[in-house]
Amino acid sequence: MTLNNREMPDRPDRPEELVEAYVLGSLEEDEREAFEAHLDSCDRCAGVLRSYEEALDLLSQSVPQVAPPPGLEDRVMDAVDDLPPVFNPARELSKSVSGEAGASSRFTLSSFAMPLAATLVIGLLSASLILNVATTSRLNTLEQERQAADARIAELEQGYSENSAGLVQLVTEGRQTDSALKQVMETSYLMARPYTQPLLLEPTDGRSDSEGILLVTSDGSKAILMLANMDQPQPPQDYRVWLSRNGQNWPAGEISVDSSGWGTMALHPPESLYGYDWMNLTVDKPAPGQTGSGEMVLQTRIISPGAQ
Amino acid sequence: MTDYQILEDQELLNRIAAGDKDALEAIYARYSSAVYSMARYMLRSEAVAEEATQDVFLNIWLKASSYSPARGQPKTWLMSVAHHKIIDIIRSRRRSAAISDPKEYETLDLLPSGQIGTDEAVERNLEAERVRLALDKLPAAQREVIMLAYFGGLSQSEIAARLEQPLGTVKTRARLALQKLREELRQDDTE
Repeated sequence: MTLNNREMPDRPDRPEELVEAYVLGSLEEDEREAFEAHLDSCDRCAGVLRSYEEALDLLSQSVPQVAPPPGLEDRVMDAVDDLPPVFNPARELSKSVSGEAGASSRFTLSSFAMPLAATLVIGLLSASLILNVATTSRLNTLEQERQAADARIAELEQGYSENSAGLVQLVTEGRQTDSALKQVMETSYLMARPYTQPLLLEPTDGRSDSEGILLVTSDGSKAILMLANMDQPQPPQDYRVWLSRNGQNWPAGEISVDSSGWGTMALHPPESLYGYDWMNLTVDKPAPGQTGSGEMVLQTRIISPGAQ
Repeated sequence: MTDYQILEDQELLNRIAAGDKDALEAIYARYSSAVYSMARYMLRSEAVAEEATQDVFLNIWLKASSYSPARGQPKTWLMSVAHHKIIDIIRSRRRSAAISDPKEYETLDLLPSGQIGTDEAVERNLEAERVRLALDKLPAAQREVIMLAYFGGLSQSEIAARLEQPLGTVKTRARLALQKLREELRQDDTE
């Protein structure tokens, strides 16, 4: 079932094959953004790009030269003034995450637009759209929750409230929200990386709407699992994540889903994820059985980037 | 007080990234002519070229923080931002209504540049002549791909459909053409 991951109609261009198309401006907008993200991490492609610099400069200057109309500069400056003060919500948001500003300042608006481009290439469009929208809406909710918690903490502090337990609880909630917010941002960042391998977890019954995406770094050392449209397990419990090799299962952690069916977790496996064959998601039946023998809900075959 | 005219492009971009409008004005003074000329040539409309130029400098204002020297000289980066923006406008206009036939870009018509300083105009004309000679040395099929892509704003798939050639052929032609152009213009430099 999950072998769908292998069924790709065309082999996507390797990044180094895109330099000339990028230089000529003949990439589509989403391909261009994906390639620019790649350029930031690939010295080789950036080097090839620079080798075209001279030809490119000459080409761009080879058109008939015309002076711009005199009033244009004022219009440009006015347009800059008219820009809304916060034009980069992700950057502003990252600043608000206490203690994480330095690490999170790399997230920009394009990081949120990028998942679409990256997943288009490997044909996971529909799933990524759902998860992308879910990520963005989750981010908004978390930010609102955080602001509400901040406001309540400020109120309590101002009123010299003696209810210290309430204050501690609020601070804890605030930290939890921060942590969730950071995880959503990490997800977006990982999604934006051109070498991140996305794998689609599909329902084993073939009918449910539930699905997940596992984003794995190129070396398999880190991954993020995101679930969408999940049912609330009965009795209430977390879903269990398993890595399997040669028919043997290793527990990789537990993941809870919220009331909207959304869940996310970071994985730091002891060895590369690409050393395993499958990732399975199970939920214990009402009478929990043996470890790993719960009901299988979602599954994906782990395919290393080189195998494609 | 800072004299922005003597600052390097890189420094100006750093300042723009920090929100310095004077730095943007300095960049505008340096590059508005090149950007507007490219827009004017590719879009074939004064009004749209003005709009495009405005969008380009807004883009530079917004994207300056994403520039890194690893991507090349600031000038090349700026012109690449401009080129991509102009191409986006061409494509969105093409989607909404038919604009000028990309056939027009199959030959690079060099017009005298009467509106800028004479020395600069002479130099630019010499550079344009170098490019034209280099383009002339390319096989016709490769030259066509360069012109349609770079000046016509056609995507590789659009070029393939237009020339009734497989996409792979178009990609190969684009790659070979640009590599040859790079060599021609480099050799030219050493002559």
